[in-house]
Amino acid sequence: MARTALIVDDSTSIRQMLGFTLREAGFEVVEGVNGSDALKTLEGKRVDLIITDLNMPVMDGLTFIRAARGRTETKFTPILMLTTETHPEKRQAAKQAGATGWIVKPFQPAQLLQVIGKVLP
Amino acid sequence: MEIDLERFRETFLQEAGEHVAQMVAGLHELAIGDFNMRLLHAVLWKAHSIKGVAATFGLVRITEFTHAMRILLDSMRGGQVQVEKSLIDLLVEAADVLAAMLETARHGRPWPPEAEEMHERLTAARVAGAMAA
Repeated sequence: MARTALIVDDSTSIRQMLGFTLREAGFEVVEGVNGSDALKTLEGKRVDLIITDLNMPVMDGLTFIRAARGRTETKFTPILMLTTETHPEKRQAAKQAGATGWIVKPFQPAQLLQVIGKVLP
Repeated sequence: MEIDLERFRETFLQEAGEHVAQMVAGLHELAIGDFNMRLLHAVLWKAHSIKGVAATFGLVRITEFTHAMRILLDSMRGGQVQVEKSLIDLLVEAADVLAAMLETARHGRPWPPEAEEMHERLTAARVAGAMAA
């Protein structure tokens, strides 16, 4: 059975690229355009992986991750933050919020899939 | 895995064009009205978004140009540079140049000759503003 990935980013082109990469790797993909939208997407749905941007309108990545970790269904789901931000304090904040890993944009598909391979059982 | 980024390039350029239009609208509003931090943040956000995706597509000059806009806006937001109408006007000009750069990327038009100079002006404005603060 295919695993499902949730991708959360306010950029249409980033969601398209991520979606394409993940589908090529065998994932089913669901999307959110920001953290709030992503939480709605998660309702009644099981996902195996979450990839989220940090800076998004309405609800940013950190707030989304904290909310996701507060849900029983996603308490232990691997969550990768994919962002242009490089500040160490932002990375630390993401870790404290519950992020499993951090990838800096621009992403290389092979690198992304390698990281996913490490965090997914 | 090799993926063909070209299939997503048009989406990015369309998206970036919308961001630039929204930046210009926000900057015009900043230029004529009372200073509004939320509006400045929204404009900064647009620059950040364009920069991030441009980098993904290897559009180095657009990435660097948008980065120059972004850090000037960030300096204004953080108080390192005082917000002045002259800087808002500069950013409006820069947004127009950015729109021309996106058209170059989209339609293969000649690179806007003013791009280099505008990049320098953005950097100089930030440095001068930081020194004056």
